[in-house]
Amino acid sequence: MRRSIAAALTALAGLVVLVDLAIANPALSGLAGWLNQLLVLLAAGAGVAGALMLVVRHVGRLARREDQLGSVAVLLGIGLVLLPGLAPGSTGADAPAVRWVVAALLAPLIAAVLALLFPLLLVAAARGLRIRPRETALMLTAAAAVLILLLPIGGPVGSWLTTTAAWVRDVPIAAVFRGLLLGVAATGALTAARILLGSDASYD
Amino acid sequence: MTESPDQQEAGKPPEPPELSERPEQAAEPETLEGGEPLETSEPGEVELADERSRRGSRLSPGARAGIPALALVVLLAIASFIPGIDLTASGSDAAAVRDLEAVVTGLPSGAPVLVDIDGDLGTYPEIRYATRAALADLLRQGANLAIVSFSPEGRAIAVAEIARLRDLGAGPGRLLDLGFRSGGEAALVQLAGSGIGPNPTGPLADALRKGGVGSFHLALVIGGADIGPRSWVEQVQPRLPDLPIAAITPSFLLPEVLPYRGSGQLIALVGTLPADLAYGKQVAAKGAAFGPGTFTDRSPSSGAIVFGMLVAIAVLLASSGGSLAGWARSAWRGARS
Repeated sequence: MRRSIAAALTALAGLVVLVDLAIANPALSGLAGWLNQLLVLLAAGAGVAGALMLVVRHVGRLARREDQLGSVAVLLGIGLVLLPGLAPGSTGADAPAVRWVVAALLAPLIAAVLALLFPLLLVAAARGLRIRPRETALMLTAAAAVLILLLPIGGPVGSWLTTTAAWVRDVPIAAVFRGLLLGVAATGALTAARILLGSDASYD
Repeated sequence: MTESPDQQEAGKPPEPPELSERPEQAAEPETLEGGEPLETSEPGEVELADERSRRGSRLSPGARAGIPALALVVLLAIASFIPGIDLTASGSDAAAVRDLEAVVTGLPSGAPVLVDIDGDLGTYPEIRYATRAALADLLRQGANLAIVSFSPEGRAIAVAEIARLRDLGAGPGRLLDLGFRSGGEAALVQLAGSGIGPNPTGPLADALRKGGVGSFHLALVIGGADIGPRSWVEQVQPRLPDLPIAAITPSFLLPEVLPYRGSGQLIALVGTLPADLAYGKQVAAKGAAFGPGTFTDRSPSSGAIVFGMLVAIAVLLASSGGSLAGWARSAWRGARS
């Protein structure tokens, strides 16, 4: 019974949003907008729940004296972002202190971590060469070929490289990418149809 | 890292040691697939490897891993001062630049423009120059900007860009911060359907509430992996078919979004580094001398980019070439025996 109610509700919600795209009706549009608003609230709730779980987990680790330094760093980071926004008189996410924390602390830190991508990729390539030498070597050769095509060399050779690079990007790579996107879309449509028809295993 | 399926099936010991522990062996395969013998199994080579290992062990693993990275940073810094290297813009890059320029130039003075900043912090440096150029170009043209983000990383970038523009003199009448909207594509749908909402304040916000989302003359999407031009075309265009969408994206997104430019669903798309540089230089040439339309950013160093590419090519070819040569040699030996 519970399975039927959940399936029926999901199918109804999905159909309302779907039909709203096809038919211009103010009442239907309002209903679809309300459902979308619920979805936004759900996403925000999931974010809050995730943050709470993170706090509970790291407080627990501190209590058990496991990796205390890491847990303190995580909790301090959460506090640094949350406290300026939750402080009395603060305007929340738009408060100057929050803006400062995001722009002067969070963004440079994340950018610094992502700047390690280049050496990390080289390390990953080296590991790949040890685990699957042939496949990795082929992949790396292809990557080197693409980089060579993108080299900014002047003259006729550079012009040929640029043209070839554009062709490689627009034809073979785009073809593979579109194939992937079509596959993802088809799978998504299939999953959506299964959910709408109530035959998805997630109701069990 | 987990074990590879091959390792699990063959009951092999878990993953090999970290590169930082034995950097000398990183570029060379220890074993070939299927448990074939080591490439360095000859007596002389083994002694040489031992000697290398002894010499390398004088430094801690952290120091050994740090030396190449430090050397790379120093060389990149030196390379960034080398003049005379330029990234060549192809015909399609030049066309992309012309498209975006035409879109901006075609805006009437005072036109509200919705700017979605949702770049990733990892790839934003590639498009930062073009993004700032576009913002300066829009403000120089007299457009009023409403900036919104749907991803946390995009919000971090937007906060920094808004602060920079406000420092340049963009007041609340010219620049509106619509903030971060949680919910990803659902929030995008909400914006398209319900407008900017009651929270934003200021003269621009009042005008936009009065005119609705349809009053925007253009949506400029600074794309990233989470929310990008594809999300806008899929979620916003069916709901606001009259809103033209232009985009600036990192090059990794191009295979995904180029079809939208081909079909005309995006009216402009700048997505390669040469196009970014070409666009930025054109805006810098015609930019305002002061005020929010000023664009004086230093363009990314072509010398450092080219040097980084050369290092990457050398490392990739050396590592993969050694592996492929080892595999070919082993296959040849197998055929002979």
